[in-house]
Amino acid sequence: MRYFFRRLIHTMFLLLGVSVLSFLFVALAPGDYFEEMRLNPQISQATVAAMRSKYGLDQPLPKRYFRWMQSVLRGELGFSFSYDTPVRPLLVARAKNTLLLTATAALLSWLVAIPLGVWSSSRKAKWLDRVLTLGTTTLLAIPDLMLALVLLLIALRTGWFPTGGLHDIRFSRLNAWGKVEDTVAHIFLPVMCLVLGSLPILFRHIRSALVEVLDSPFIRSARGHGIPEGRVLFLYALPAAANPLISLFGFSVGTLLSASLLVEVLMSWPGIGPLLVEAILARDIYLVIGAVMFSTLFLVGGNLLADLLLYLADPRIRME
Amino acid sequence: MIRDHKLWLILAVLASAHLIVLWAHFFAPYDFASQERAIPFAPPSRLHFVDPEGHFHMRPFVYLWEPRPGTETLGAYVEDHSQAFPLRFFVRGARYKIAGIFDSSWHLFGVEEPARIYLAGSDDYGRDQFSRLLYGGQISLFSGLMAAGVSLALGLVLGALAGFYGGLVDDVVMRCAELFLALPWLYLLFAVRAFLPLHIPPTQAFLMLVLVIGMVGWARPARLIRGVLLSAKERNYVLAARGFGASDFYLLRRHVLPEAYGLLLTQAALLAPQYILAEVTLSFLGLGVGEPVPSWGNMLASLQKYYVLTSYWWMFVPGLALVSVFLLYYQLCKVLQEQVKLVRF
Amino acid sequence: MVADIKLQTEEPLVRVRGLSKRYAQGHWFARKKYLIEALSGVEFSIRPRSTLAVVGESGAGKSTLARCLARLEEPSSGEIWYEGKSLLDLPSKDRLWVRRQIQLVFQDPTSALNPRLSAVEIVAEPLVIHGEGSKVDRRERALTAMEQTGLSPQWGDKSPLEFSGGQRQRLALARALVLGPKFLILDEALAGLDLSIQAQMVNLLLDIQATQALTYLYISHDLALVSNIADEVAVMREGTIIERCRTSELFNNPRHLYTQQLIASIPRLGSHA
Repeated sequence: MRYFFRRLIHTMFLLLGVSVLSFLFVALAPGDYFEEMRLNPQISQATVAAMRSKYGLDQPLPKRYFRWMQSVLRGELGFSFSYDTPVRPLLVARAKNTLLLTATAALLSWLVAIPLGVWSSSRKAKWLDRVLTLGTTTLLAIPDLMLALVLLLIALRTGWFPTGGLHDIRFSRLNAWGKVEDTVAHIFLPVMCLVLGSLPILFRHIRSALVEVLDSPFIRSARGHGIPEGRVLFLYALPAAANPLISLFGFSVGTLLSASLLVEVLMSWPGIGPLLVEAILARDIYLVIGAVMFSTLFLVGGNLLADLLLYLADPRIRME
Repeated sequence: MIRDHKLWLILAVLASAHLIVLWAHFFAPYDFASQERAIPFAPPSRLHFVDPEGHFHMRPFVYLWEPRPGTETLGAYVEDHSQAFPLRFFVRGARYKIAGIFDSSWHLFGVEEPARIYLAGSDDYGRDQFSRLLYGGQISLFSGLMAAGVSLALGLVLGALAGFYGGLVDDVVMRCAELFLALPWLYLLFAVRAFLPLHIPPTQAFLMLVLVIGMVGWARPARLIRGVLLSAKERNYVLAARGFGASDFYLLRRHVLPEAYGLLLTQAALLAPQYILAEVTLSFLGLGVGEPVPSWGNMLASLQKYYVLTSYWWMFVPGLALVSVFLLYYQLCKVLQEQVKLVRF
Repeated sequence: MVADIKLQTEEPLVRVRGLSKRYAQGHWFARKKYLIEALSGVEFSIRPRSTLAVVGESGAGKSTLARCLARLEEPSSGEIWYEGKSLLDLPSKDRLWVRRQIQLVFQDPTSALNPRLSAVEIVAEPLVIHGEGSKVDRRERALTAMEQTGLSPQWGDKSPLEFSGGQRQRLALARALVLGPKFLILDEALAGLDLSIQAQMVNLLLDIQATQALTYLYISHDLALVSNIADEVAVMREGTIIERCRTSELFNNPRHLYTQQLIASIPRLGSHA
């Protein structure tokens, strides 16, 4: 329990650090949201100056940071200039979608990677293993960007899947089952892309972790005792290889988040990704900082989850 | 030295790709900005050996692309067989400067005007995709390589400071590294990019990409290098040399840093493709190098329009180039990882 | 008796007084820092051309003592005198001079030799650090030093990984000798070697001591070995020297209970457990 308390405090410090870092970048950046306005001859300089002072952009940086912190404590996370609302409701709506996408993708890719990795490691250097290894090596070299484009192309050519958005326009008129069906159809393409993108890394790690374990004496003795191979693989070897894999889980959350940023933009999935790109193009700094903070929160959340799993899986850590 | 043919083969292919891209003005038949508005999305030119009368020619030739009569669709073209334009090597074309000083107009190959040779088709402005691919490689390949250099240099200095001196320096550097690693790195990259001006001239944009990508990624190499140095400096031969009165600089140079060289090499091979992708992603989303200067990222950006995506397969060519470069780098990485353990540097 | 008086009057080469070393454990901003006392008030002196052995169980502070004397670690308090000069507040011009005079040989020769360098590069390293001679000159001196320790100069360009354990320790010894030191600290230098090779090395060390007028501080946990090489023995426990006397005296008439236990624990042929 104390362990998680410590981790929580650590997380708070981390988020604080991230926010300070973001503000430092703001300080170094030339121009802001109202810079564009200034170029517009229809808006008087006085108006621009007034708006700047209204949002506190004319204040020195520490003061702005302090004001922002106050707004964080109020649960607003700053103010978006382009949407003219506090940042939090904007982000929360989007974050739900990102969470739905990445969680589904994480779950699916692990569900596929574990059996494949175990299977491949048990047939080391046989043709199946070679095929899988070659396949993942090739997949590894195909960046998410290209995967997404090719998947989009297939979807457009065949018309099997909707190619963008979260729901169909008729969504509100559908019954409950129809809603689920519609969501699955829409999420399929981006999830597919993320799964294909993260699969090779997971597969390789699972395979090498298992190959190492399968070489150890206790597995050889288990096999010697005549315990069925499936039991040896999944009940003996897999738990023994769990520790590095759980750490990998924390890491894979980070890569999935980064990958989903691009996939969301390409497949017009209304997550944090498109919002972030929009905010960057509009120079909406508090929205950018908010999006970065949220993504950090996700990543830290993933790591905490990995810690929790590790705690449950490893009696040695529980003892401490 | 490393005696592995595979390694040298991969290195040779990668190096020649970089060299060709570097001399794009010679290898590319056209300038990256020269347009042919009349024929947008022209398919790749077909190289013919046999003319309509059935005669065989040793020298391949191309025909002019003409809009297909009676169709309004973009990119529906037929060949105009009335005149053949043979492919010629070492021809005069668009003028360019070698190293910014010598004027030249030699190109490796080309066809006579008004015909144009499109090895990889043309884009929506009728610009030669092949030429743009080579010029775009200058931005994409070298920004990745140079950003990897920046990351490794930063990682080496900070990792060495942390690993070799330890104590307070170590704590501060490693807490900072943790901070950078705690962020999903593409988000971080975007965030840093967000605070820089949107529209900047190409050279500045290139340098900005190199610096931003390189600086965002310093933490992982720094941590790895710190780890290596931490164990390296504890070795007895380092203590022994200290006992002979060696300075910190001597110890670092002679005994400690050589331990990190192998790591630096593999990290370079790992980071370079990752950073190429970062540049491509940024430029793809319009946050990197802007038109008309090509990068593989902004060349792919036209695929965001569904009609381009479904109709013109040659717009995928930069993506193919990207995947091949990635394959090469991953193979390099693999071979290096196997070799580095065996090699005395 | 006469000899004894002479010994007493000769000026010691090394004199250590009240040497203490404490390590602080814990984080740099942690409030609770607990101290580990590796050395507390160590005192001894060594006469020129003699050998003092320091024995004791592991964790007694022997290696810390060696490192403090070799100036690899800064003692917390105390004095170290060498040829009448205090090592702890030496003028900077004399610092390299001390590095030349005092050399340390480590227990594990494998980790003490950089596998990236060749044998002759390793032996010549102190010369490089001290900026002595030309490259050819340095190589010549390194090969001579190798020969002194019984290594063929033909092996000069080999990697230390190609040497056996005993040969590696000879290589480390050659490196320690190449600057012409007067005082050698041997930190468990023969531990981990085969008995026959240990015997060869003891003979080599005694030979070199005689020909080059060296003084040894020999650190060991192996009392049997110590009896072959040392003139005097100091027994260390928990950071202090609890007993010090001539080697023969120690074995015949150990005063301290702990020393008696140490001696009793030497394995002997035919002894009963």
